[in-house]
Amino acid sequence: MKIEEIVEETPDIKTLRLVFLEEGMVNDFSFQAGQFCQLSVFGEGEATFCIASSPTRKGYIECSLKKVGKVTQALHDREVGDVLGFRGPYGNWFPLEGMKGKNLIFVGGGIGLAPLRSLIWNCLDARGDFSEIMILYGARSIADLVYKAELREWEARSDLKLVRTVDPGGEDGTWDGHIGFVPAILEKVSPSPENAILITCGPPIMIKFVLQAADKLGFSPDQVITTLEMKMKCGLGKCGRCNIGNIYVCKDGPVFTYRQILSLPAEF
Amino acid sequence: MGKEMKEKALSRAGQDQLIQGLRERGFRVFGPRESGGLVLFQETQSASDLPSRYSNSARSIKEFFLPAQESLLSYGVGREEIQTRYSAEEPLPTVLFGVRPCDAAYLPIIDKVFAWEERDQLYLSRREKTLIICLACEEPDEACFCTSLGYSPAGREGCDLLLTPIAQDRFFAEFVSEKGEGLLREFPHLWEEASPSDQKRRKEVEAEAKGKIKRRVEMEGIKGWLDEHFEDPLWEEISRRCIGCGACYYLCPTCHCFDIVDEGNLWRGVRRRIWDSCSFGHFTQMPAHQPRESQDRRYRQRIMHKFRYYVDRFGPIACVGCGRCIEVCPVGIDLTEILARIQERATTPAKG
Amino acid sequence: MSQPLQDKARELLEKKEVAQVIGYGEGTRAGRARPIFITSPQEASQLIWTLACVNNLAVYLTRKETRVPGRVGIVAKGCDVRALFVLIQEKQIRREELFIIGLSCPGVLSKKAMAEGKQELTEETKADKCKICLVHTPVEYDFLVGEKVDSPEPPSDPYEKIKELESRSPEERWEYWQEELSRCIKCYACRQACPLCYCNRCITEKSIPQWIEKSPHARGNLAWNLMRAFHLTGRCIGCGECERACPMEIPLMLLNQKMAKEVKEQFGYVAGMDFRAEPALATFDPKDHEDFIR
Repeated sequence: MKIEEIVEETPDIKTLRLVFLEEGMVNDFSFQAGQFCQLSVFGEGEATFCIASSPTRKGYIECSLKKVGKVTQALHDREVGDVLGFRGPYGNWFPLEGMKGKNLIFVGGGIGLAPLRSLIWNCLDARGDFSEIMILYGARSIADLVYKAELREWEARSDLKLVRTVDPGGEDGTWDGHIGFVPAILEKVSPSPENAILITCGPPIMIKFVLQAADKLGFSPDQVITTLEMKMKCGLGKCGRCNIGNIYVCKDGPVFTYRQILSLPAEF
Repeated sequence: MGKEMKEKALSRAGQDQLIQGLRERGFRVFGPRESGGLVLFQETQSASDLPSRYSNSARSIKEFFLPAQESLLSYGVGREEIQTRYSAEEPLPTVLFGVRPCDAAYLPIIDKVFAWEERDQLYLSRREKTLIICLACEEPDEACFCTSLGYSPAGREGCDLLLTPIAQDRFFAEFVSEKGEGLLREFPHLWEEASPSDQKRRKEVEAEAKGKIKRRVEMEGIKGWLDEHFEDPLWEEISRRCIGCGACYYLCPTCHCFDIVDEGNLWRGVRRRIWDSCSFGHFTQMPAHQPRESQDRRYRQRIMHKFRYYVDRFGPIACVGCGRCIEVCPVGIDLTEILARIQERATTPAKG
Repeated sequence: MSQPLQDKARELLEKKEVAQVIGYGEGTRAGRARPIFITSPQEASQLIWTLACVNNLAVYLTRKETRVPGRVGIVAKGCDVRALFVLIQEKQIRREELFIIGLSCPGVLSKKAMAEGKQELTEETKADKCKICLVHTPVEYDFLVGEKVDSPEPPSDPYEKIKELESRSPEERWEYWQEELSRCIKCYACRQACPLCYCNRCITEKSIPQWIEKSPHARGNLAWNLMRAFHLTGRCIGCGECERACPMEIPLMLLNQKMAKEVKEQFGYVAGMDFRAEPALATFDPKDHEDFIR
């Protein structure tokens, strides 16, 4: 795939818009929100990224990547027009059908907004299928918020409620959102579990506390959906790296309900 | 299946002619050979290359299906385009001669993970092109415990042809699979009729070898305990002396985890698959998170994957009782001791 | 010989002079020993001292899973004490944190001898390293199990095999090592068993850039094994654990001994004999005979 556009979201996160090199490929390709892919910089390696764009937007995909290691550093050094290797889509996806007619509460932290974004736009592009939508998103600081332009877009929309927060100390004089960790703000905002599905994604420690908070708010484990991240290599259920318990995150995930998570050994 | 397995006898000279004949037909024949103080599978010209007395090869036969390293694709980055070329070549017809039944038994177990969902053609094409001729054990090693897992020194799982020594110059030959039967058709003059006393002797040899296996583990209840005890002080206790090397993992026939690495520069190079092990921290190390941060958690993964997760997912226990892990551990960790301790806990009624 | 060892360990634990004793216990296979970690006086009776006590227990002092807070009693042969000394030199542990239970050691059985079930210590059954050992009594200890013995002059030249290899042509040496290293499967048993390979992140795990290829092909094997020998230069104390742990019978000690020979000849330095000494390759001496630095 070729890089068509690069957006610098934060000092260490970039979003790449990718298009297939071969014209015809785009017609054969489809994916669902929640799935992931493997991007290659030949010579550096391959790494796993969720597809952050919505399947309703055809012709391209977007991946957001944080610069944390060898491959992500190499990806950050790429320029518009550079060619990358692509494998995918892999994994399972968010259960869109089961979400129809319900209130949706998206809870994201940091770069965790990336997989959620795919689902959010998927839902917004079919807005009538869903009831109330709330997006709760936070990051360490204002600079670390991703998709800043889209946050403004969502803020302006009347058909969803956007709640933004930064960690204590991450605010400045201009900040008009909440101040506090995402799980705490979730409890503060206290969305009702009535006819609702809560979808969360973020750093493992945030997810842990969000799951606890959702439980406190009365969400049953079947009403809460999250994504698991494990180190991956093959993406095909062969190399064993992403094996936790009886599942392979690359095949049985990365999307799981909290009910499923509860049955897994606690090592993710 | 309903079809009766064919049985014949084979002389020692016949064994040699079989190897020659296979080589003449273009098969590469690998058999156990002494090398650098070890027994390893190497190209074999004749049956006399085989060591006279040995229990098993140092490395299992898994490297013939999942090599320690292999190129997946090569890449070339030009000014205008990137070219990639898959490295896989048609595997050469291969015979593994003199494989012990425990090693052959690993194949039906691990075939499952390589054949589910996306089929691993590299592994499966090698499987298809490889003939497994097993040699039953007469002298099991002190570390062997195949019988505890339902296997046998003269077991047939994974074999295409099983040869059991029944006399100084005579083997009982069982054509276990269709591929094995092909040998019957292909070399009609090598085989002699198996007499009832041959059959009797074959059973005796197996029983004698089984009797020599002193190491015994009762597997009853172990799975159930593992299902319930992901957290347990036992994990830290049994793994304290583990120094976190990959020796048991790499020598184990059923361990199959691998890594994928790029080698080369930004213009030209190769993407490789190499053996990897969950004993290493890097296996699950992510930039901001390490799910298995200490050796006990990594050791737990070994036991759980083999004796619980693989069973739930694919059916069989991912262990054949070859005993290599016990032989090779530099710090004396003994899998059968661990299983026995688990079994003891599983079958001791809880107090209070 | 196990009795005085057990008594001392029991005493140390009873008096709470140490939080833990790392020593040898019975292995599950006849005639074997393996590392054990005891924290209560009652467990002291598990300690043994036999010809099968081959492990270098110093390796456990730098692993977080086995390093409990407080003073550690460690059972150590002469070679093991040398490893302790290098750890102290390199500030991985302080001398005060150790109670060295030294073992007066006649030698231990080789891997081959134990595999064959041999139980007597002879020139044939002795581990190679023991044949050239100069520290049958450890250089330093807080308690000695057994009598002080002088180390006999080694019957053969400790560098015999090295000199034989040195006499070969470069091509022949290359052939030799290509053959030996072809069996390497990158299991890193050598690294994990070595008390002085304690880096939290080994150079093979550093990926920006990937200094040492991880693959077990000829190039990757050469890179790893040579680089490990280089990283041990001036530090390796010759316990031979790497070679013992290697499941593929690669003569790793030849590489390490060669480097030790170079260090001895060029710097007059032998690792692990005096923990107060300055390490040869980490010290600048103004009297260095090389003049490039001036």
